[in-house]
Amino acid sequence: MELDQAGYRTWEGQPRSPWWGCLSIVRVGLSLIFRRWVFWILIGLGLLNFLFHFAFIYLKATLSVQNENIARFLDNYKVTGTGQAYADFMFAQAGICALLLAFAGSTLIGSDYRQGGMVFYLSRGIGKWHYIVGKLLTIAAVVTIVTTLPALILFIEYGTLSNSFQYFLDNPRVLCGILGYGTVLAVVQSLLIFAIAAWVPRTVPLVMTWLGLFALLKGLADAMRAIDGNRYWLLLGFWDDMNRLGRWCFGSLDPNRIPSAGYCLAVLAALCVVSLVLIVRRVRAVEVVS
Amino acid sequence: MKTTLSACGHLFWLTIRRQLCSRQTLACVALTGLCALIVLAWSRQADPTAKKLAEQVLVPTFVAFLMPIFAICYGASGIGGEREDQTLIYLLIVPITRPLVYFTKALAGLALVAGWTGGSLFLLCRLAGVPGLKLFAMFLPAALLGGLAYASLFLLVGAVFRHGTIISLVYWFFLEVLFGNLPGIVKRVSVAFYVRCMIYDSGGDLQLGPLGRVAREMFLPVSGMAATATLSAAVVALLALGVLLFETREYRDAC
Repeated sequence: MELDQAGYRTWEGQPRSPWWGCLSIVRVGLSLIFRRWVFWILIGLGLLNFLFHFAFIYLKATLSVQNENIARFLDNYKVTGTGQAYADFMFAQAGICALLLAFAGSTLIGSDYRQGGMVFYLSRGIGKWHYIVGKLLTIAAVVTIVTTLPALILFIEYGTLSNSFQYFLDNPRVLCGILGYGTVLAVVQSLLIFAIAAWVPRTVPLVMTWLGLFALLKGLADAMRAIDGNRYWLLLGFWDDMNRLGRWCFGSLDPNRIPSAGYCLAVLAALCVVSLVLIVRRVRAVEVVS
Repeated sequence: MKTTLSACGHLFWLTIRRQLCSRQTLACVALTGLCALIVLAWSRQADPTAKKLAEQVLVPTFVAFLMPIFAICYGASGIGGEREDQTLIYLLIVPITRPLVYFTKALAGLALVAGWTGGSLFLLCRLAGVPGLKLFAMFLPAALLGGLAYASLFLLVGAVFRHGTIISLVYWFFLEVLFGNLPGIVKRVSVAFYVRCMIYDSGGDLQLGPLGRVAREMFLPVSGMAATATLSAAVVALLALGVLLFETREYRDAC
């Protein structure tokens, strides 16, 4: 059979940079996750907190017009539109995001190792770094959907339900904070889950390692600090380091409190470098079987 | 009959061997090691007492985290692991009836969970010194029964759902952690509530209980005996339900 009869034809367009392939990896990765009902359950549960805040802001805006005292009473529920409130909201969302990432890590990265997806990807016209960046962007997109996007929606809602645009003009730091905290969460968590899933691709040990890293290291940090009161031990808790750095972005971190944002940034940067090294060592087109 | 028993015995040991010689066992060792470090660090503080050890370390670290994680590790992966590895088809074509297959896998999983839970609790209590040894007998029945209840639940989830591990995780996070701290009787749907009731009941001399006045008033505990009976009944009921569902379910993703 002739090649043109089989539908094959030469490519006559201008080949684009392989970096565009990263976007295809993101698209395929997201569609892979979006078609699982488990993901939608997790998103639904993750958005319960968002819906609570969304409804509360509306309620507060409505009641403020009628009675200022009720609005002040509602401020006890921390839906105040300040940087602190958004930092608390994003911290709560990040906890749910950790669960989502356990699923995403297993589906996006772990399954590539278990079912040979890695060999398929790297046999295309892209290199190792395109694959890595594509997968990292996919995970970062998932983190953004659960943490940054809802916070941005709440920020817009809070501003638009007020009497003027003054809220937006008065609080540019809040917007920077949301984007900053979101970036910290997306970068650190995507690198970390990729590194863990690349070395522990099976779902059960992946979940155990991922959760253990966050929950137990915090416990260890608290126990070490309790020995002699040295607060630098708290740097061991990566989860809290991200939280401190996020609060610094909002301007709600006490600068005199140890550990400072600089130390947290240094620890998280080191963690990201180690994760990246682990990822690069593990992403190979062939598997050496000994 | 003898052949069936022999086949079940073989399946039991095969399951134990496969589960033990796996990366999840390494993860269990690492997590237990981290908990041991926490206990060692805790024991170096100025005034270590049994009450503090229970409230600051064992309840939040072991009962709330390590015990359910062991159960997810060996429970959810019992049938779920076979589905993930696409070896369930081989399990289903062996000449053993489905209820016996499930029951044997459950026995192996429960034995592993009980072994890990008991062993790690002993290690942590031993490392904590005198306060730990005081607490070991107090925590052991609750930890074992809680671990078995979690394991039989997660085994069932792994047999019913394709992403059993993730669903177990969601259940643990939302129902156990979130509902477990809500006011009212809604928390009685969680395994952790009954485990804590057993611990607080047996630790009456140390005045163990939830931290803080509000938490204590909201806890609304049941007696230790009632908690033991509930957890035991839950283990049996979940195993029976698992056998029933595994027998009737058609696994389209088996191969």
